[in-house]
Amino acid sequence: MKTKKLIIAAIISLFMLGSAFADGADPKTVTPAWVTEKQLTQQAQAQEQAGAEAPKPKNFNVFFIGYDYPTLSGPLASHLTGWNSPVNFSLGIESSNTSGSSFLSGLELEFFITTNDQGMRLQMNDMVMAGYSFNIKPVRFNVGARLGLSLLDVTDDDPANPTYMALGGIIGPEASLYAELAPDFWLWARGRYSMAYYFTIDSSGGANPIDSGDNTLNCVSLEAGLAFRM
Amino acid sequence: MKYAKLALALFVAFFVAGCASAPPPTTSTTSPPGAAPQASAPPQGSAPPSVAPPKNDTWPKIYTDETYLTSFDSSWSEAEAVGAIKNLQNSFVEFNAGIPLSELDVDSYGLRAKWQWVENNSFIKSASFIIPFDQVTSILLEYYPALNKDYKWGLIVNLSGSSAVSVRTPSRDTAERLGKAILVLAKARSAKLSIPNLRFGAALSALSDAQAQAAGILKTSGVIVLWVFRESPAEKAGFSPQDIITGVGGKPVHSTEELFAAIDAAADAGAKELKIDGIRRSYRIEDKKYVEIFVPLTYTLAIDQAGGTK
Repeated sequence: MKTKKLIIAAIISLFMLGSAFADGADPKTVTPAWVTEKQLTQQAQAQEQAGAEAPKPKNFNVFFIGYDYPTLSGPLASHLTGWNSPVNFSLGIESSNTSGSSFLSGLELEFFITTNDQGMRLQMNDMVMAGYSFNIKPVRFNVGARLGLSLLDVTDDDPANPTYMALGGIIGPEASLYAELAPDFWLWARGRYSMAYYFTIDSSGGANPIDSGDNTLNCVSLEAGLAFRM
Repeated sequence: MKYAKLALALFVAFFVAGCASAPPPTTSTTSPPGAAPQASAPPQGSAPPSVAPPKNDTWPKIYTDETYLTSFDSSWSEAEAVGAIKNLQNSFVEFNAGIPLSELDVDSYGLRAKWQWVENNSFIKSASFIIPFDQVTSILLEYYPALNKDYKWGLIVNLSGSSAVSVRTPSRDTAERLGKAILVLAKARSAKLSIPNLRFGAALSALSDAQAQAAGILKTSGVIVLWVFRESPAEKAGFSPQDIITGVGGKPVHSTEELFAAIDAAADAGAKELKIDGIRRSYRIEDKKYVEIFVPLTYTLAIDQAGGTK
């Protein structure tokens, strides 16, 4: 056993002696720190430059304007049949937080105007919208609900008929589709069902239909037009 | 209809308020001034580290300019050297100006050059430099790869008591001819010249306290490489700037003089090569972080029988 221990000690000593005089690594196999630092600096600069040059995705913030085709129904609709509006249009804005799918808010102003020998009718809907925008390239599909005020002004030149102005609340769901025609330029279409409840704020020439109880007006609006990035 | 105007005003106000509260368009996500850049990608073939290595001023600066090892030796006489410089008048420019010289006056005592340029279409400005040959301490042959100009070769003439003079030339041959001529005239004026050791070919310096502490050695246990001359034995042996030389031929090195003496002694003894021990600062990636390490190296320096400091 004594011999065996001696042999082991000799081997260990030889190994330690060999380690003490062993050559270091080949310089070609060890990358100097400054080379790594230089590469990292260059990569950081390249990333920074690429980031600066890369086109930034744009948020969906648009101004829209288009033609509006309303179909009226409900108790008040029968009193407005003589006032089929030829001049109908809507305009407004819609804003989404990101370039992808995200929540959506907006504002819309609708005008239905009729002017004829009998007089004039103006209906103006002023609505805010909250919804969600799905970016399903190359189109955007937006769904939401609108809430707002509706102003109805009927001026009848026939003294036998009443002239009145009414203010109401309007609410309804909607869906719209935006197709990108060019950068920052869309073609859009929208469908909305809305219900409005009016009260008279001014009236002359006899009892008006709202005061008579026909104060509800439903409307299906089909709209289409152009939109531009803001 | 007394409420008509009121209702209309209410409508318009409602719409305008809605427009004003709509979120503003955001088309740019530019970082604020001074924002830190993102962590860099790692060198190819390694795991992506999340933290860039630390940077400090402890270690010698890395130069993009390349300094070539040459002795500028020639058998020219003083008159030949003066003539060679005169012949090169149209072949070199001052480093920064890059304009051909308008005047060159050279004799065995010094070189005086002047160049002119027009500013604002009317004012003629001029500048000059002087190389007093008795004040020349060293001459370096340079190549400027990053310089996007015709004159990519050049000389740095270091002077005692004043700033170095740098000139650029269109070719290496022109720079070498100019260097040879200046060396001949500097030697003739008994200038105190510092000639690089041609058997090694690297600029060295004593270790600073911070460098020795970082490497875990004594300040007197080695010398540090400032830069390595191109085409030199040191470059061929694999030396790199910032390497620390700790031993030569199995013996410790405490100074530049000891290192050069050992190399010259090996050359005198007819050795073909010499083992030099050193330490290299490098990085290892641990847990996606760069960790500074110091790796012991052994270089094999081929001994050139010609050259040396003698």
